Amino acid sequence: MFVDLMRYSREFHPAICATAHDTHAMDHEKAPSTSNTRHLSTNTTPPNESHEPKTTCEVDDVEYGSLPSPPSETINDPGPPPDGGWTAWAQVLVGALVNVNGFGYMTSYGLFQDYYVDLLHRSPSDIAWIGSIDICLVFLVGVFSGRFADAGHSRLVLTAGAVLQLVGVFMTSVARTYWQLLLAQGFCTGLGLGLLFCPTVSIVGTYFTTKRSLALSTAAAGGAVGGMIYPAIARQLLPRMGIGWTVRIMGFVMIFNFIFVLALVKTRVPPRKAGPLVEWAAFKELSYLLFSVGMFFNGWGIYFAYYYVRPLP
Amino acid sequence: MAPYASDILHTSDRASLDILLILNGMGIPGRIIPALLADRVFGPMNMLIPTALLSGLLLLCWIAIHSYGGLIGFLVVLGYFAAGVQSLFPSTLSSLTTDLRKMGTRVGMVFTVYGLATLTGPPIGGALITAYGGGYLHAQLFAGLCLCCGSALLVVARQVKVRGALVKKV
Repeated sequence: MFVDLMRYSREFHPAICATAHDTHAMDHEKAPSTSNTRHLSTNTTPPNESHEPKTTCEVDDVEYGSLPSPPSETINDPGPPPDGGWTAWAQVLVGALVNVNGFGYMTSYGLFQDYYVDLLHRSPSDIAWIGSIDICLVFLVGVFSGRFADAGHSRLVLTAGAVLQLVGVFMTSVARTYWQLLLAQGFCTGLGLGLLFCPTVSIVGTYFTTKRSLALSTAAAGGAVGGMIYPAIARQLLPRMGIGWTVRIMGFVMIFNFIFVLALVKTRVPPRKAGPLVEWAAFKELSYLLFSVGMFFNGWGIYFAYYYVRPLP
Repeated sequence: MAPYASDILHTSDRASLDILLILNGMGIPGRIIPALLADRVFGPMNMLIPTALLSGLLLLCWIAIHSYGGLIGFLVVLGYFAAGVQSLFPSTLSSLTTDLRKMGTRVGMVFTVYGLATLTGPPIGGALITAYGGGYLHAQLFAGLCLCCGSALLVVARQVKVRGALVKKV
C-alpha cells in the first residue's frame, strides 16, 4: 500500500527503492564525468582512495554495458543527476501518481473489507486475503520488476503494470463472488502495482542527489494522497451509485493518472545488469538477520488498523 | 447491473470512510517528515526504531479508547507513525549494508520477507476478531505486540551494527 512504497525506491514505499539507487546516484555524484566505459572498467580498477570507501564500490548490481541491446535513448552517458529541473520533478510527479493509484488504492482496502464481509457472508479473515495478496504481490513482484526496469525495459514494465492494474480494477467492479474478487482485486491489481512501483521509484532516485530524500518522500506522499482520494470517492458515490460504478469511477481516475505517468516518465541511466536474486550469506550477518526478522514482525502488525479500524458502535 | 451497495451503506459506513480518510491523510506528513529527519539529522535506523515502537504502543492504547473523539486523535497520531514505518525501512538497509554492490539483492530479500508478513498479517487479525466473537482485543494485542517485538529486534540489530554505541547516526 502505501507502503509504499510504499518508500519507495528500492520504498512505499516511498523511499523504498531508494537505497539501491541512492548508492547508484552517489556514484554519479562523486564522479560527474562517469561514462559507460568507466563503469565497465571499474571492476578491474582499484578504488580511488580519496573517496569514502562506500562510494567507491560499484553500486549494488550496477554493471553497465553488458546487456545485449540497450535502448538507444539510454546508451549515452547520462552525466550527473540534475537534482532538479522540469524533467526531474516530472519524475517525482510520475512516482506520486503511481503511488496514488497503487498504495492509495491499497490502503483504502478498509473501505471494501466490511462491505465484502456483508456482501459475501464470509469471515473478516477470508476477506482480508484479497487485500493482503494485493500488498504482498507489490513487494514480491517489485523484486523482479525492478530488475526488468534496470535492464532497460522500464516503459514496457510500466505499461504492462498500468494495464494489469486497470484490468484488475474494472474486473473488481463487475466481480460478484469471492474468487472473482480474489483474482481481480488481489492478484491482478497486486501484479500491476508490483510492476509499476519499483521502476518508478528507482527512476526518481536517479535524478536527484542532495534533494533525493525530499524527492522520494514527495513521491511516497502520493500514496497518502491516494489514500484520501479513494475513500472520498467511495464516501460520495457508494450510497448513490453502488459499488460497481464507484469502483469504475476509481478506475477512470487511475486511467487519467496513468496517462500522465506514461507521458512523462523518462529513464535517465543506461541499462544495467542485476545481481543475484538471493544472497543467503546476508542472513549470516547478525544485524541483517535481526533487521529482517524485525521487519517481518512490523509488517505483520502494521496494516491491522488500515483494514479493521471502525467507528465505535 | 443493480447497484448492490446502496441499501447496505448506513451512516456508520460513512463514518468509517471518514476515519479511513484521516488515517491515510496523516500519511502525507508521515512519509515526508520522518524521511527528511532521518536523512538530515538522526539516520534512518535511529528514526525507524522509535517510529515502529510508538506505532506498536499506539496500537495497544487503542484497546483503551472508548470515544469517537479519542479514536480520531488516535488515528491522527497512528496515521503519522505507521506511514513512517512504511517509508523508512528501505533506506535503513543502506545503514546495514557495507558492500553496496549487494544492496539491490538485499533490499529485494527484505521486501520478500516483509511481503510475506503483509500477506499473512491482516487475515490473522481477521481470524482473531472472529475467534473473539467480533471483539478487537486479541487482534489489537497481536498487532501492537508485533510492532513492539519488531522494534525490539531492530534495537538489537542496531546495537550489533554499531557495536553497542548509544549515540551514533545510523
